[in-house]
Amino acid sequence: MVPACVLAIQPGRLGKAVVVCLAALAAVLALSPAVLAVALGVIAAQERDGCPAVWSVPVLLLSVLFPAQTPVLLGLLPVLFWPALVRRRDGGWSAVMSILGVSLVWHAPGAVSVELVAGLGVCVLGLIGWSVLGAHRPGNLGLLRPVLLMVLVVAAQNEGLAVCARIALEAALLDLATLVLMASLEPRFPALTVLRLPFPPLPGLVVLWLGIHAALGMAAGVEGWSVLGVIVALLLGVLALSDLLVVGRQMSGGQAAISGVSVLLVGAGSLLLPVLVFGLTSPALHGVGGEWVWPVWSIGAGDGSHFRLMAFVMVGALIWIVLVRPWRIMGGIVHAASTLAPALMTLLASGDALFEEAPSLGWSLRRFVVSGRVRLRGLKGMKAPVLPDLRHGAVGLWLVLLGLVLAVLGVMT
Amino acid sequence: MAHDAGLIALSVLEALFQLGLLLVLAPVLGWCLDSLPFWLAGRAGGAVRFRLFGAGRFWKNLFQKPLPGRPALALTVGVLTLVCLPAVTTGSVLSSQADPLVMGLMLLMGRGFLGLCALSGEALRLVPAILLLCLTEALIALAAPGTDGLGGLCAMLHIEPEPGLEGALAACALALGIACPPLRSEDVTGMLSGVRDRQEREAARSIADVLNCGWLLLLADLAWPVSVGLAQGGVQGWWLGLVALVARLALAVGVAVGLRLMAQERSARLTALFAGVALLLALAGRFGT
Repeated sequence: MVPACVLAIQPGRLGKAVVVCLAALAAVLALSPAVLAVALGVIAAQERDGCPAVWSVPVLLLSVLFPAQTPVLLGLLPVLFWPALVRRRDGGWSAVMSILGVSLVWHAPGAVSVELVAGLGVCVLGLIGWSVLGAHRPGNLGLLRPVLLMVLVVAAQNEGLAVCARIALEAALLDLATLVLMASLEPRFPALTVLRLPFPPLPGLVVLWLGIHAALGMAAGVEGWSVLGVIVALLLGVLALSDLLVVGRQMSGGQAAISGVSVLLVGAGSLLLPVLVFGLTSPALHGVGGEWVWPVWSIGAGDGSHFRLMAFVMVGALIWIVLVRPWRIMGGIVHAASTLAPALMTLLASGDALFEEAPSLGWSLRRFVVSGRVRLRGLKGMKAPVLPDLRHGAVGLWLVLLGLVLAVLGVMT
Repeated sequence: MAHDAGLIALSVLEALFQLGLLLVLAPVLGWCLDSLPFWLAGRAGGAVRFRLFGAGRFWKNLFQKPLPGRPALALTVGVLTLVCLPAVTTGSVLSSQADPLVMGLMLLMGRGFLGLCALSGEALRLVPAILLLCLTEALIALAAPGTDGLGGLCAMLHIEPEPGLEGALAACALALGIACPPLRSEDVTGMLSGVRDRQEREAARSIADVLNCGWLLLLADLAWPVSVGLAQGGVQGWWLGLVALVARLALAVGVAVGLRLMAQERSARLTALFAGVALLLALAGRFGT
């Protein structure tokens, strides 16, 4: 079963086959963690740019032996995301890897969520720092978001917060659905990647909003999650920013004109994708927790706040249509909507400047490194202590002190 | 039944009134943002009535000739923000939609659709602004779980004051104002560099005023949520809310102009400092009670 799926996910095949295979893959692989590890090994062996065998083989062996250990899970992260994040190759593979990561976390209910969140955070920040210093764009970091959301689900279930787990699961499933949709339909309709953007009323915003509320729902219910919840919220914000970069890159590669079908698909997707996903996965959602609701008109966050997506889209679309008055020309709405794409591209292209050239920070950092080296050398032959001029770092000192107070507050609770 | 219908009609009326008032105030606020720095330096700026006439011409043209898709989306964003955010009281019909994260992200998106080319350094405003909006949403969910957007937050703070959260939100609003100041007229000129049509340029300036008004109202609502009146406040409460709205907007304009005059805008260190202060205040408020 697994090699058949792998054969079918070659690039260039029909999108439908990929969707079917991904569904089959998810269904098969959700069975057992050992099967997961074997499948991961098979898929990783197919990949030319996969993680180095020095790392992947021992980690896969360990994951078969100790499937639910937190360090092993963290060690599996490079095996999962090496081709997409380090080699920066796109394609159906990356969505499969996200699904695998989600099911790995799902099968490890005993894992320590704090360590997992810390590992994911270090992973994201390290990759961003590496690409800033190397003056190239980071890869598709949004692949890590379903895993992060699944960590929230597992943590909430461990603490017995069923509603919170359900909200996080909703966000994770919507995010996975968007990823799979992108991976399968992107060759034919490149404009569909827009759906991942964190701008209203696109599904990317729903994922971000639900994720933030799920993280802070944990903070309201469990002691010790206050600082951690805020950190998870900021991490989700960073991932949303990386989505902006990725979508900008993918759209700038495509053609400038957007076909009418893509415009209609984007419109329908932003309106109906959350409803469809929540409707199709409602057995799983309600198996996790909460009472039976199908969030069509208002998406609840579990803590009393609601996001009325449909009403929002309809009011906005009404105002826009009255302003544009497209009924005078044939197909006016689609034509007017397709003129929005270039403007969106210029907005997204503004992020390129951050990674296109080596950062100006580099020189000051280099000077810092060099002066540190000189100072160290000077320490050897020092006769009398001389302090460097530290008066310019006053704000930095305050920030450090603030961070210390925050850390104390976070530890004390 | 009739009573309910009357209440709904009243809330729709209030939303329309709020939209009209803020659309009239938008050019005045834009004039304040542009001319107050000159005026404080002892130089003359343009009169406010020219700005108002320009806005009037823009709205009159809008009824005669439809807008192209791109500026129409920017204007839609501005109008939607102005009608959703709680302004006079929390009783307007769409005030339950006013989630700070949604509103802020929508305004940031609308700025991108204003002109043909992006503002230089726009990424350096977007990145901290989006992170700060996430932080704001997180702090509200942390310190006041169970509130529904900004409208619910205002109503809750009337019943149960929470100084920690209010201080944190004020710090967040200040950090947002530092990281992503309102658009200046030079910025709009830069964004319109490829546009030749005079009418289109003037339309873009009027839309920029609407977007700036929405951004200032969002910051003002975050900074001082208690000043929004309650829906059940009666006539006196409504007038108080109106006065408080004007005071709140004046305060926001004053702070924005002050930040611009002292060249404190877009300072990464100050942004980080105020974000840290906000987090600290919210945590202290949560654990202090």
